[in-house]
Amino acid sequence: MKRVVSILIALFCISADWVRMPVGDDPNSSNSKIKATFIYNFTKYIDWPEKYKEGNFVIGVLGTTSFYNDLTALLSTKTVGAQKFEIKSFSSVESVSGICHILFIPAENSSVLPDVLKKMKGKSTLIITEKSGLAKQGSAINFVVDNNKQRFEMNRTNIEKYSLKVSTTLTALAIPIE
Amino acid sequence: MKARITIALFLALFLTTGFSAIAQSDSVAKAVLVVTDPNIPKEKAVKQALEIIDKAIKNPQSQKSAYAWYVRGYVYKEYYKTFEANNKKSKTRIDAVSFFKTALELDATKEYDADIRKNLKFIGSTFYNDAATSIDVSTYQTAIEDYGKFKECMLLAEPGFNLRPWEINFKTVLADLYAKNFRSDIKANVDDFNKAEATYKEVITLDTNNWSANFNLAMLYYNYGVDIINAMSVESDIIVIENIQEEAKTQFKKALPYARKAYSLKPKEKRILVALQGIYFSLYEFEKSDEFKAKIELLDKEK
Repeated sequence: MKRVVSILIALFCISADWVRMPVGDDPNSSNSKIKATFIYNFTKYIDWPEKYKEGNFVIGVLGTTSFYNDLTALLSTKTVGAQKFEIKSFSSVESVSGICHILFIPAENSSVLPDVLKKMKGKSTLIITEKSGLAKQGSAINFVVDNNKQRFEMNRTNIEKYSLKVSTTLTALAIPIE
Repeated sequence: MKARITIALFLALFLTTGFSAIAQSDSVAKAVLVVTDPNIPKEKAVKQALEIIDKAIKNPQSQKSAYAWYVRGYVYKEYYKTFEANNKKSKTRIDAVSFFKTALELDATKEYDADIRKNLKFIGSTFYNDAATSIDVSTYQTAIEDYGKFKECMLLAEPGFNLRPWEINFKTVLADLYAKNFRSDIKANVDDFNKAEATYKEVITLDTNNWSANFNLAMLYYNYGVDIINAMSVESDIIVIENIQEEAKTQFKKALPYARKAYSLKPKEKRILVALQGIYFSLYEFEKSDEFKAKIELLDKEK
């Protein structure tokens, strides 16, 4: 009989770093999804004039931003009633043309808001921005961060100015801006 | 060990006076002689010794003999090694532990104490190795059971045995497995999320500075937060968006302290920098997110 039985405890072949949790998807895309879902909801709770209910439902994105691609991926197969979404990218305010139901101005292009307001005068375009204070400067809806969440400010006057009708449901969920 | 057992055998034969006692010692000794006989093929010797010791142990004297139980444990252990080394469910191995345990309890003079404990350590090592090779999605329950038996053996062999490093190692791998399983189907395997979370926390309780557990727990929460948002339909109602954001935020907030801890332990580790950039971004704390983005860029330049 063997006198000593040696201890053969083997370490786990697998190290403590065996499985590395992947770092999540690009957080930009999660943020884009939340904004896109809000925008989709705006189309449900805001009513455009009759002449805007034909053809595609156009969302313009001003400037070069990844949000354009995200929005295209998320909404291009969806509809507003019978209208298909069409996402357009405009490189400048001057290039904005045709019917545009929604015009989104990314934070980095916020300085063009005054030009956009001039350009869109008399049209029923919902102007959406995402920089603090812009709902007071003419945008209808302004994405803001509140308590680590994406929310939106709404300036009812700026919406109605463009002959758009907003439901009380949406108004109730917005941060009101006078 | 051979010399020790032989001496003990002779002592037992000379010191016992009753016939039955001699008979039981004789049978036990026979089992020893058979199992250690180099002239008998190992397989045959082990089988024969097992039969002999099983009969011998029925004797009332043997029942009270630490030596008899020790020999029985030894023979069973040898049987396991010879015939069942690849059988993770070997009952013989479990029996061997039980017999060694009885031997320890009966060994008032501690005559066989050291040898019994060495054998228990050996068996413990086999359980640990089996646990290590069973730690897989389909067999992790077996791994948990084997790891439990490893602990039992080691604590029997050495009551003050320091299990802490083993606990950290095993539980880290187990938590990673739960997390991996959760990630494979986050809807169906929610229970694995809870198990991973609890097990990582156990590791962190044992080892506050365990980088892997802190990082992986942070990633478990962070990825889940991202998953919650990604699972949302773009057609979800506006009320749902609020609830989903709240749920995701809860996960991002939970991730943060563990990610910060991992960062404090390895500030130059790119993965944690990327994770913190993402967590802060997801919490809409853009300045802090940008801070980590800058650190990543700096790190990339340094390389």
